[in-house]
Amino acid sequence: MLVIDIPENPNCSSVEMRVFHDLTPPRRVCHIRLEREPGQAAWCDVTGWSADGTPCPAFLKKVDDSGEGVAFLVYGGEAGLRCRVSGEDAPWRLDDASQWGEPFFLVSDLEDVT
Amino acid sequence: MADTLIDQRLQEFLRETPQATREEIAEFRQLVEQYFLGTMTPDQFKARRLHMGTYGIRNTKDIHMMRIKIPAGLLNASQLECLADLAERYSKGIGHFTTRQDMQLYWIPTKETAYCMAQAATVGLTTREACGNSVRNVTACPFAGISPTEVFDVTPHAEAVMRHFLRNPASQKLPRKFKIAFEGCPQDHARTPIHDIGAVAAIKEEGGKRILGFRLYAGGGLGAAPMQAILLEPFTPTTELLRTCEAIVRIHDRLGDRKNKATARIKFVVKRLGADAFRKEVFAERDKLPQYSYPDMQVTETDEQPPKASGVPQAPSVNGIFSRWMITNVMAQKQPGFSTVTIRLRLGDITTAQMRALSGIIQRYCGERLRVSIEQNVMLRWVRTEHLAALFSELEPLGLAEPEAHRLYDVTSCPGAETCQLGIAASRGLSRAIEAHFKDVGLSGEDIEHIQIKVSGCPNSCGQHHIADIGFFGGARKVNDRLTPHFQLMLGGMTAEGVAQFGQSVLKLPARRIPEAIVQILQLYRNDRQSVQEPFKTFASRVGLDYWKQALATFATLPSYEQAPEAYRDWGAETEFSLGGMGPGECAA
Repeated sequence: MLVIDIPENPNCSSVEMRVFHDLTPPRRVCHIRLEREPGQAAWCDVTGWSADGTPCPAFLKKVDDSGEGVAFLVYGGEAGLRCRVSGEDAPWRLDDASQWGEPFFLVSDLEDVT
Repeated sequence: MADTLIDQRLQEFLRETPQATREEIAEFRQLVEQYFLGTMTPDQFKARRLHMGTYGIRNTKDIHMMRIKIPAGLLNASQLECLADLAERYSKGIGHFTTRQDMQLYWIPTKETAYCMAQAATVGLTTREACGNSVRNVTACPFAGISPTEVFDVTPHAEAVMRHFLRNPASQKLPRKFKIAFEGCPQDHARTPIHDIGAVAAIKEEGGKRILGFRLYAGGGLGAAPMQAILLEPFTPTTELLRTCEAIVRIHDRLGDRKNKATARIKFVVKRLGADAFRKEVFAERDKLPQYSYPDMQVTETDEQPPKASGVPQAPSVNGIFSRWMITNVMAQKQPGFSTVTIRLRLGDITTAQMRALSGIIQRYCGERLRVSIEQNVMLRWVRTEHLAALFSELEPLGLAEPEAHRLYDVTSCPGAETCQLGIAASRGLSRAIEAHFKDVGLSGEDIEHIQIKVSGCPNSCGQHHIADIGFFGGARKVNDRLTPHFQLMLGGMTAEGVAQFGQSVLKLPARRIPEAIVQILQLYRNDRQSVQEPFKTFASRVGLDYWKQALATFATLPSYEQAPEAYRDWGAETEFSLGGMGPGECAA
C-alpha cells in the first residue's frame, strides 16, 4: 500500500492521504507523456521534489484503479513532482515559469512513461 | 454439483431476460471461466468485471461487492424481493443503499457473479456500467412526481437518459466515470451542482405554448478536487436533452485527459478550457449528432396512478413516537389526500426481512413501488393520509419507523473501512457512535435539527462530506507515536441549484473524540450565534477558521496510550489501528 500525503508546499497542491494499492516494486522514471492541452500529448521531463526545495528521484508503481482495473502511479518526494517540457535543459528551479509542479500522476499506459 | 445447479438456474434466469442482457451475462460467464482457466489475466478480468458492476472487497480474493443500479431510485415490489433473495443468499442478509441510488450486495463469489446478474436481470435490474469509466446510475429527486413545489416530474426524462447511455458505444470507455442527476424541485434534493451533468426542470412559454426543458449544468464533482458545475445552457428543451447529454459525454471522451487519470474527470476539461470554450465545444458536438427520437413528454404530472389500497388493517392506537414521526418523516403530496413517508435506514442498510416485509407493504399501501433517496433512505409514496397510522403500526415492529428523517440524527455514511478497499477509517462506526452519543446527551431542538452530518472513510467523497453542514473524511495521524484513526472536519458545506459551497477544512480530530466534538460545535452555535435565525452555515463561515480551531483544539488530543488504549482504536475495532489491511483500490465512489 502506498499513501500519498503532501502538505502545503510551494511546488504543488497539497494532497490529503490518497491511498493506492501497489502491485509492483518501484522503478525510477524520468520522462512522461502528458496532455498539456486537451488532446495534445507531449513528452515531459519529470523529477521528484523534496520538502527542502531540491530535486529527488521520481518513481513508478503499478497500482489498482477503480476505473480501469490497473494504472501506473508516478510519484516523487514530500513536495510531489516537478515537470518541464522535454528538450528544455534549464536546471530544476521553483522560480522557472516554464516548469510546474504536480502532486502525482496516474497513468493508464506504460508506454507513456520512461 | 453446486456449480451445476447454479449454472442450470442461471440458464433459467437468462431465458427470462431480454436478448442484450442475455448475451452480455453469458459473455461475462465466459470471462469468469477464462479467468479461472488462466486464459485471461487477473488484470484483464478486473477491468471487465468493474464494467459489470463487480468490485473487490477488502482483504478477500475472488469475493465481490456487486453494485446494482436503481435508475431514478425507482424500485417495484418484485425487484425488492429479488434484492432480498440475493442479499439473503450472499450478503449476510443485508443490502446497502448508496448515496447514488444503487444497492450494493457483498460477499458474492466470483463463480456466482453471473448468476447474480442474471437473477437481477429477470426483474429488469442491471449491474452493467455501475462501476468503471462509464455513465453511472442516473439519479433523480426522490420527490419527483409528488412534490408540491416541483416544476414537472423528471422521472421519465431521467429514465430516458439512462436508457440512452446504457450499452451506448459512446460511453463505454470514457476517460473516467460520469454521473448524471435530475431535479424537478426548487430545492436541490438531487445535489445537481456536484454532478458531471445536472439537469434542473424548467418550463418556457413560447407562442402561448408551454415547452418543457432543463437548465443544464456540467462539470461538477467532489473527490479530492471538488468543483461546482457551470451552467451550460439556460434552457435545453426535452427534445434536445439526449443530444445535449451525449454531446457532453462525447466531449469528455474526446478532451478528457487520457494521459493522467488523476485529472481525467470532465470537471478538469471545463477548468482547462474555461466555461465559454467548453460550451462552444459541446454545442458544436451537438450539431453533429442526429436528432434522437424522444417520447412526447410534454405533460408535467406523473403518470403514476393512485394505488387501490387493499388489505390495509384498521388504524390501531399508536404510541408516542407516532406524532414525532408524522412531523419528521411524512410529507403531504401535491395530490390531495396522499402522503409520502420516509423510512430512515441507518447508514443505508436494510435487512432481507425488512425488504420482504416492505414488498408486501408497498403492494398494500403504495401501488407496488417505492423510491430510494441519495440520503440512503426509502420513500413510500402514495400513502392515503387516513392510512398513515396503520402504516406506522406495520413499520414499527420491523424497525422501519424511526423518526428524524432528513434531520441531525440521519447521518449519511459511505461503507468506509468496514468493507471498502480504500477506506482508511470506519465511517460507519463513527456514524453509529455519533447518533448514540446524541441520544446519550439528549441532544435535540428545532434550531439544530436541520443540520446535516455526512461522513466518508477516505478523501474520495462517497459520503459527500464536502456538502454537509458538518462533514468528515477519514485519515490517519500519529498521536503519541501511535498511528491513530482521524477524521478531517469540514464545516459549512451546502448545495442549491447552480451553487456548491464546499465545507471549510478545519482540523483533524481523533475518531474517538468526534461525537463529543460535534456536541461542542452545536453548543458553540447555540451560544455564539447572532440570533436564533442565523443558520448554522452562516454562523460557521462568519466566525471563521481560527475560532473553530481554537474552540476544538482540546478534542484533537488524546490521553496517553497506557491510560486509554481504546482511544487509539477505530470505532467498532477491537484491535490496534493500522493501514496494513487495506486492499486493492476499487473505490466505491
